[in-house]
Amino acid sequence: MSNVKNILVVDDSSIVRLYYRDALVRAGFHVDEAFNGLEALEKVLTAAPDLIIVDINMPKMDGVTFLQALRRHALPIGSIPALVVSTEAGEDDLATAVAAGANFYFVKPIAQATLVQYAKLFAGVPA
Amino acid sequence: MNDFLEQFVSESRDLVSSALSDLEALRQAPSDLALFESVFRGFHTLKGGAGIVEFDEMGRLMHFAEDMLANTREAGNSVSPALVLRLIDCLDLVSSWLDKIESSDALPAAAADEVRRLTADLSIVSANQVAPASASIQDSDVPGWLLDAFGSAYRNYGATLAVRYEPTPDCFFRDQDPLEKVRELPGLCSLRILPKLSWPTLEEFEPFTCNLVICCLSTSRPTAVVDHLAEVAEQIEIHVLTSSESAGVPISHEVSSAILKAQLAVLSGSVEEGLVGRIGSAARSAANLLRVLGTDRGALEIEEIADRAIHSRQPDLLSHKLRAVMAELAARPVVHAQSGGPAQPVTTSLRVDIRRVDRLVRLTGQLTVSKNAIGHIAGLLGNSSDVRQIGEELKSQHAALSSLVEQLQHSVLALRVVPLSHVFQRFPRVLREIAAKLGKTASLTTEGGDTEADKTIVEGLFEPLVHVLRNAIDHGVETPEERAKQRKPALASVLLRGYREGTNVVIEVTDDGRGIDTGALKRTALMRGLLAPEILDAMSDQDAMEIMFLPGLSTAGSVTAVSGRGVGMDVVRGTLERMSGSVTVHSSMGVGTTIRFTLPFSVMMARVMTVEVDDQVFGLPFDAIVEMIQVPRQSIRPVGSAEALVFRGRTVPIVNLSRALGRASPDVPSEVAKIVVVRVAGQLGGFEVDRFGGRLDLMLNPPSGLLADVPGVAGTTLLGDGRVLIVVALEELLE
Amino acid sequence: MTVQLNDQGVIVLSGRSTVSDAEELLQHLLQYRSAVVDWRECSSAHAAVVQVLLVARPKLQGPPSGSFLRDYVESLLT
Repeated sequence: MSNVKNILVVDDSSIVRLYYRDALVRAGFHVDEAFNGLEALEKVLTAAPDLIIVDINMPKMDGVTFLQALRRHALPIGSIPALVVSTEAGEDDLATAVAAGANFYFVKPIAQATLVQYAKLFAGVPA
Repeated sequence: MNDFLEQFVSESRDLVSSALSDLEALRQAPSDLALFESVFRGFHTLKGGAGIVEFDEMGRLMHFAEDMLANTREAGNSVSPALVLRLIDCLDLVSSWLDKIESSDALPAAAADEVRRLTADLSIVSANQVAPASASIQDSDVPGWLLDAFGSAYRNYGATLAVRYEPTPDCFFRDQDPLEKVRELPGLCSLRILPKLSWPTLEEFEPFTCNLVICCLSTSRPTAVVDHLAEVAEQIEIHVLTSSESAGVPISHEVSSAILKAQLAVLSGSVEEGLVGRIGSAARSAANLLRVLGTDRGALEIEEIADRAIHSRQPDLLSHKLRAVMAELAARPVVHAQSGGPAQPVTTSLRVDIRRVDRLVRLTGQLTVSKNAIGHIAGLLGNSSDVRQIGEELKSQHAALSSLVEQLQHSVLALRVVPLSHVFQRFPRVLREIAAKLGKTASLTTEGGDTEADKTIVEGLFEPLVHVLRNAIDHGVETPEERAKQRKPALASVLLRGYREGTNVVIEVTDDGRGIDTGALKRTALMRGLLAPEILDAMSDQDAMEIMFLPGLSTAGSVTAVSGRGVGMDVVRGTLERMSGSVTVHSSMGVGTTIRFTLPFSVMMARVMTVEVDDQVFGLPFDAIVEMIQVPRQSIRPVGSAEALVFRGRTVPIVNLSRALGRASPDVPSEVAKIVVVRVAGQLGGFEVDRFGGRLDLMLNPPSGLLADVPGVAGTTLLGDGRVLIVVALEELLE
Repeated sequence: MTVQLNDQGVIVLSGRSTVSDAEELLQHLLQYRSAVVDWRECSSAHAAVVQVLLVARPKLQGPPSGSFLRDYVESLLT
């Protein structure tokens, strides 16, 4: 049984995706990328990741809409843990994301070490 | 670990330690027969011990070493440097096994391989004693193939072991598929495939010859991996990753409770859409967290409850469980996510001199007598009206009791006292490892290993000493070429020295390296904005050395892998201060550096001689006192702005204790001066006091509040009459 | 057949690739040096086949369908 965990990184900025990929791959994860919620949904249905890291502000389908769609799916797709990393620091933004089904909320910028630490915990990988 | 194993480990460590020092001596005097015999006996006894506890690999290794030595003796040769080095390797390996045994009661799985490798080395070496081995000992614990395959990233996977699988070139013809074997490897988490020999061109390439070396990381147990690969056992090499190599970062309580709280928030949503997904994701997140924290059962419980919550569409069922989990975690001490064993063995047992225990037994007998006497007196109170007489008897019994309690205190603390050699003996190996990693050569000499100090202090010294040693080798010791240019011997020397001074234990690490470049320190401090330029300009060289204790400093061009992990001298100072100790630096450019640790001899006790000045009682460290004398006032002569006395042909500076501690001096000096002569840091000094007291053993409280800033105060204690006794820090006063 | 050269000159690896495929794969790669190897339908590959890929380092069209190949081997070849 494969022990490598897959993470889907969803963000419209290629630099942000690269930043996350760099940290996560070095930590032993397999990383897939999507640049908005729509592409993310496609990817999730093709190969379900163990964890999703998603931005909020994205074109075509934003993070909140993506999470709502994700959570409406049948299990196990619907229960994939999702961490939001967003520029928005407001209470309302946090509440909206959580209501949509975000299992944790980070405000950008996020340090690579923090990203890796939480990714491991949510994916069940020992430190 | 049972008592028997404990004793085995303890005795083996002693044997290894003396064998190592014998081997070092043998290196200087290869024909010394007595040393040879001693080394031989050492290996022989180690072999015997290993046999009794059935650690076969260790027994085999010791036996082999014994054979090598025996052959050498028969051939009439003296022991070659190469053989000495290999024997040292064997003993280092045994030391590392003893560490493993302490934490897991068994030899590491790779022990057999390690033995094979060493015995192969040993036989080559003893066969041709002509060519000495080069001084570079591959002492690194991490095998080359692991680093080649993964780089330092091997640490990132949380793996417990690494496997190197080299299939035979004809395995394809034998209907074997090495990848198939690896695919099902228990706990596989990462894989690298490397060519055994460099790849030829595509035209020349033979597709049915296997030229692959497969390296894997696994989170499983060595036995599981070995079982799985049993068919190809000879093609496998396993390296167990120690906990320090795949070290876990402890998960703080804040992080785990933040994560659980976030899941509670997810569960509190009232929207029907996506409810099942939200419950499921909260459960998965929480369960994964618990698995990492080591509570698999808790994770399973969460999953079961989540199933019910989903089925009945009631998120509260899961919320309730998560709250319970949070409460449980709050009550728990923080647990390391992956603790394969302590990175350094912490002994929880003591080897105790049986005479000290006997003394304790006798004391309890005497205490019982005293207790009975006091009970008797209490009874008298009822019958007799002679209160004064009873008062006298009570006082007398109390004095007896006090004396007994004092002795008890002493004796119990004496149990905790161990010689510095306990920590010193680990250092030659540590030094070798560090030097090898940094490409330098250095030798370690230790002095004063029989100096005693409290066990916790001695053990607490290990980490800071390792840091200091790393810095000394990394920054202090020059490369062999640089040393040659300065006409220093290629082999750098490091001296680790311990001695008692007053109520303190002093440990010094001295190297003969390049010394501390205060100019560089100042420049770095300036660059990092740690200190203002005016302050830096005004600093003396000695002051500038204190810069190295500022946090966030590194004067090396690049932070090396060995010493660059946040191991600043600020950390060392902090550690020492937590043990009520201090760190100082003395250095000379081009000559070397000494780092000095000063620690209380015992965490609790100070033995002082009390003296009085006016109404204030002071305690002077008993061991520092040379003599207490009374001299005519005239014999104290002014010398410059100070005063001095001629004592036994030496000029001794005299300080009025009262003045030294900032109090007013008496208007009329007495005709006869009472002087306590002390020796501090090798120098004699004298303190003038009003009255001599007596010897007192006391529990020392570190100075706090107003007294903390007064120089010369080592601590205080409360006397029976309610007065505060100030214990004097002589070194500070006499500077 | 688990190794096939299609009309677009792409070498397709499909299904469970066995040890004998190694030779054929090698031949194709020798003949068409810059051919792309499409292993999206490949569920497993014998070590000999992977070895050929390691030596030739062709451009790969993936990811392979097999999870072991995808999780552990693909990254060694890209």
